[in-house]
Amino acid sequence: MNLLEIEALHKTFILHLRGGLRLHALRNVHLTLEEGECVVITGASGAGKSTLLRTIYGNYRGDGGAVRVRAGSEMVDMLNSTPRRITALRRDHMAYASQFLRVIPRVPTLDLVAQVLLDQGIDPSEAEDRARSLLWQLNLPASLHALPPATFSGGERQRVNIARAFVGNHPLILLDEPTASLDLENTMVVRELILSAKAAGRGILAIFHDPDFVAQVADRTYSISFQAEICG
Amino acid sequence: MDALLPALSVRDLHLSFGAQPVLRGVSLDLWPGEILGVVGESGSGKSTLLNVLYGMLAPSMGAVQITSAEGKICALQSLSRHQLRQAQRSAWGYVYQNPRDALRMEISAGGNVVERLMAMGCHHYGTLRTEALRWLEKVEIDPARMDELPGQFSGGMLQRLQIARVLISRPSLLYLDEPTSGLDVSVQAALLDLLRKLVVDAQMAVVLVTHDLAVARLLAGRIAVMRYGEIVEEGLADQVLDDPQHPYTQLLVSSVLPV
Amino acid sequence: MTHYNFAYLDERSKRAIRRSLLKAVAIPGHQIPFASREMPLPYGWGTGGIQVTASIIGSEDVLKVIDQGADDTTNAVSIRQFFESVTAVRTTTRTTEASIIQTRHRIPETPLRAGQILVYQVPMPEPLFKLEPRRTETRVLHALGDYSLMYLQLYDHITRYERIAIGYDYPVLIEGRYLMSPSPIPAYDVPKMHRNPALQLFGAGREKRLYALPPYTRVEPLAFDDYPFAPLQVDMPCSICGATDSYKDEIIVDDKGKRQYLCSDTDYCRGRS
Repeated sequence: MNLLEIEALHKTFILHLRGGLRLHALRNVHLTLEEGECVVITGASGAGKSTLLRTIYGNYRGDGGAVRVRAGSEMVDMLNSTPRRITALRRDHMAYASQFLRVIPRVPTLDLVAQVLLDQGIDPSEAEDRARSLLWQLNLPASLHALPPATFSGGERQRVNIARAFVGNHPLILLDEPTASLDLENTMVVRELILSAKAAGRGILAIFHDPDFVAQVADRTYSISFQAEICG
Repeated sequence: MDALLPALSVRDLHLSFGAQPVLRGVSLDLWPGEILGVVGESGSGKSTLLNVLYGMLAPSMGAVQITSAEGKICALQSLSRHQLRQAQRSAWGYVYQNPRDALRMEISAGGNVVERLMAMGCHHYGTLRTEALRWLEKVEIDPARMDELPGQFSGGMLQRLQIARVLISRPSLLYLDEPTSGLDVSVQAALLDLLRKLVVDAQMAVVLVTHDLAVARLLAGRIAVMRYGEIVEEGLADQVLDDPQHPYTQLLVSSVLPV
Repeated sequence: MTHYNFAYLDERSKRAIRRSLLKAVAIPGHQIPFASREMPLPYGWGTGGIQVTASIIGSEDVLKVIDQGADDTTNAVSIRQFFESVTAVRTTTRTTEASIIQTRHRIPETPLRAGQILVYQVPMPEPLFKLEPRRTETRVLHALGDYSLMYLQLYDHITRYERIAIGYDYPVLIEGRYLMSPSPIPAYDVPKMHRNPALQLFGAGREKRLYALPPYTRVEPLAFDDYPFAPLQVDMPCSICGATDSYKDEIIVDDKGKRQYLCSDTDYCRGRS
């Protein structure tokens, strides 16, 4: 079963503050992702890899074509869905770990991760347990669980991000350079998480900077060539 | 998607103050559990919109439909003064920018918190006291201060007191008018975090008016951008802020000073 | 002897006030505005009560006037003599003999009968005034029956004093609908208002409002379920008549603070001794 279907997707940024400058960020993207697959997006820096992930997630708005995400038995068209529909989709069916963790002041790390499960209606103590064990797996010790990530290092924040993406058992997971700031040990943990998710039938669409890592986890790659055309 | 009716349904609101148009055709929908951030600069009409939705101002044109938690639909304009007042004291909540506009400064903090319960018919002192304590704890005000007059409280505490006072009746519709303006930054963070928790727990439908995009990003699931009485862009909060489509939105987003 | 119309006011004014009184009786506890006339004494001295009495008094009536329960204080004497001079109506100090009793700040101890009229002098007819001085607001509150403001005040009383410590002008709810000020009578007197067979009329001259309680009206003092109405009792016997069931005046008789307690209602006291 397909978890993700992208057809003829394109996206153009119109920079009104620069006199209407058009930036064609995505052109004619076709991509499908099946259960249990890990597809890695490759391409030169600036080619639009992150843009593609963000557009799939709804963080950016696609201008044409289709992005369909599986929600149970139906495929939801992201480009034509209401904010409410997309919010529900993100809650239950699609997770995303960006490169940067946007820090919410004062919320402890454990709560940040557990919230994903609470939103899904999971009982609070179970949510906490699952969050905790995932943080441990990512080598974030209990001493950090009660602290907000504001004071964490880049690598620590990235691991919190990763925890948030994996804890909810979302069928589709989007990962943007999840191992960029991680040491070898933690990179291996991420590999384990990806492989377990695949084994459980979930699908992963990711960007990795390390070709060796790609070889270890990817079933396929999808290449974006430099497409950003600038038109005045 | 579920077949839930929106808690609030606004169609084509118009209002002018004399010759000056303030709302020029505003429409929106809001579902239970959603937080809609209405952002815009001074003069955009966002606070006026809030006043109209709460029934404090009548629009010259347009309709506001409210569906109660029990599924009862009513047109705001058709409510009698009595019904309006009752709703404003129980089913709906409004948090003012300046808490001194909402609090009774000559009544104790605890009294301020339970006023809505009294208005709804609770006349048992022991019960009122227990509820006051519970809510003061929820908003992280030291319960030992419940008998003090609000004049002794700091700005952040006053705002938390106002929030307790409003949420105690478990409103299904909540309107917030710049709830953190005028507060110290550290106090703001604490307050926003508190609001987020309380709102999520209770599945309220919330309209949050703010000029501060960071506040909107933190709390809102959807954002509507207002300018000159109109909504120029509306959508998923992170999408509006990260991929703004309308020229004005792009200007607004790029104008935020980085920390 | 007198160049005045019977009871001082012209007939038109009396009719206007009676029309307002009828409205007041029709809506127990609700304040009715009236066009307060210029009276031969300043505001704050009972002009409201005097206008009500003047509008209803007839040549067959018997009038009693008391001030804080006494017939012989300056104000009571002045007002009684005023009516004697402008009506030639019989006056009395005996509660049982009177058909109209004008009072400032007390209800007679002797129970009233059907057919009697009690006219209260009221300084501030609005029970919510101290909490909400705006008339525009209080009108809306009365219309909506929204009296949480008063409950708030009671709540803070209990918090501060561990009881509702309102000694006089205790707020009462009329027929479960309107909040009313009973005038500054002691809280002790409030139970006498409940289902009283007499007609009770209230006049506020300075504020230009009047209100009324028809006979047998339900009058309930405001309280919490777990803090019921409990006015302080006055058990000390009267030094003159020995009564323990009347409201007392406390009189300090020497420099050492020795006290004496006398019935505030002089007619009641005299009737017993």
